[in-house]
Amino acid sequence: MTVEATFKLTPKESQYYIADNNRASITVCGTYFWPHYFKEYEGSFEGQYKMDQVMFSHYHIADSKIDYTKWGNITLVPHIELNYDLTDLGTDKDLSLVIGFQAWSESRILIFSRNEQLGETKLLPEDNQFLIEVECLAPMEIFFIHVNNEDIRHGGNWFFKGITGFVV
Amino acid sequence: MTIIRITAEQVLNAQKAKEKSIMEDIDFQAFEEHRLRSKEIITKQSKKEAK
Repeated sequence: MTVEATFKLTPKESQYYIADNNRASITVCGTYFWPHYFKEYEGSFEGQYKMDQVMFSHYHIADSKIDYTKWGNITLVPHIELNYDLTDLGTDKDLSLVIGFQAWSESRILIFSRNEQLGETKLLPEDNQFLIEVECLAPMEIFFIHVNNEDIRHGGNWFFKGITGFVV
Repeated sequence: MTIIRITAEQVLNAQKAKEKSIMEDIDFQAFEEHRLRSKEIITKQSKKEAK
């Protein structure tokens, strides 16, 4: 059995809107691109636009020691915000979110709501997605923050490719 | 593959937290400390490379 996606958000198609209570969107902050002649073509602005992906660079990582349960702190660092309200689709349903990426090197992501850390994941070159399951469809904001690894200067380089949502 | 689970209670708590103001939340001192730490590491690294 195939389950059809409720929405698919990418950097180019960043909004899904049917009604005020059946919508989802992403906002991306702090991405990076390299000159065309430097490194691989996909790191350039042209390459990223063509491939519908955006890059997060190890040059501009957030400090993992800062308290991101304070929402204001998130606004100052590289992050992706997923904002949705799917309450029109039912009260007894779950939401599964598949976050797509391509990592050039190991990268660390912290996941926050407005008031708490929801989780953490490592993006590895051999993987291309991770999953979030939410047990209700009420309005929610989820923030994905690109932070440093243990060494403060180093994070990783990775591309954000999009978020696909399944209401089940 | 990493799987992260969010409960209905966590969603509700996040909604409540949204009422708070933005500017009061920014931890300027922590960002300044981060900037100084980074600067220190870069300076040390540069000196090491110059030797």
